[in-house]
Amino acid sequence: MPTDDLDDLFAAARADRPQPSDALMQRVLADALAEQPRPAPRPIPRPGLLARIAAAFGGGPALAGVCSAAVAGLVIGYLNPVTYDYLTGGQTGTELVDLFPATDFLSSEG
Amino acid sequence: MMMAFDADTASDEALMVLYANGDREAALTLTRRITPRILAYAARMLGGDRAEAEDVAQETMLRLWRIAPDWRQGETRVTTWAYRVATNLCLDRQRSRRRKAQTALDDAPDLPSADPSAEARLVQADRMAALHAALAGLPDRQRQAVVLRHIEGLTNPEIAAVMEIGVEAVESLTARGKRALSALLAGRRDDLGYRDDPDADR
Repeated sequence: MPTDDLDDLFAAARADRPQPSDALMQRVLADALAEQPRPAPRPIPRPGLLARIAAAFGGGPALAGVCSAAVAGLVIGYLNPVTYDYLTGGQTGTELVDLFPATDFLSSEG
Repeated sequence: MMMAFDADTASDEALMVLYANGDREAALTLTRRITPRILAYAARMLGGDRAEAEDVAQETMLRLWRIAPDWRQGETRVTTWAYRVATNLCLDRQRSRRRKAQTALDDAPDLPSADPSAEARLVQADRMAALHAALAGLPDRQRQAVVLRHIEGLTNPEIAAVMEIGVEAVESLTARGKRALSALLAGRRDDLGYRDDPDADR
């Protein structure tokens, strides 16, 4: 067969390219999706020490309240309350107020 | 979250990485791009046996999906790899079913044709059957080189990569393959309608 005829035969073959059926494409795609690696699930970060302590106290706000109370207790215990007399104007002092200057009349007859 | 990309313009190699990362669009695009090429190639290599060619195409693609997580960028092209796998699958099938490789004219598959004329369709079917039969008569390497060069339209360097040989060896194989095909088809010229075909005089 002459070369021209052979080239013509090749050209005819290129033009007559077998096309994949829809069924084949579906099978190939199904294989692709079945074999496709799944993205690894994002690891859940382990809570830190502070987070776990806060959880033990019922959450961050509760822990904040506990800490505030603890600090307040330390301050009150450390500082001498006497120094606050200037705030109370000495009203909380230990002076004796004689509400009943004389009670003898209660025991006397008459 | 995956960055947006244009699957139509992304390279096959980039799509392999995206596929391995779980991108479904990449799977679809690779399927559409590569499956038709492998099917057509396998059909030529298997003497026009459509069912066998579909099996080869599906198996080739399955191996492609499985190697995707280990795909090494820059080592080889996806199509080169796929042609190589398809070649091995075709040769394995031909070895195990040697008798089917020789497609007789009477068993020629009814290939679709764009020619509206029924007679022209018959002529075209006869020509394709004759080509497949002649190709089946070539040594494996010559058949592979001729199909890749003259029907699939690959360049010689691309064929060299697929066959893992030098470009000069490819040129030698295609030249010898064409000569052998001419000899095999020499007695069929009239049968195939080339005497009356005006294109034959080009």
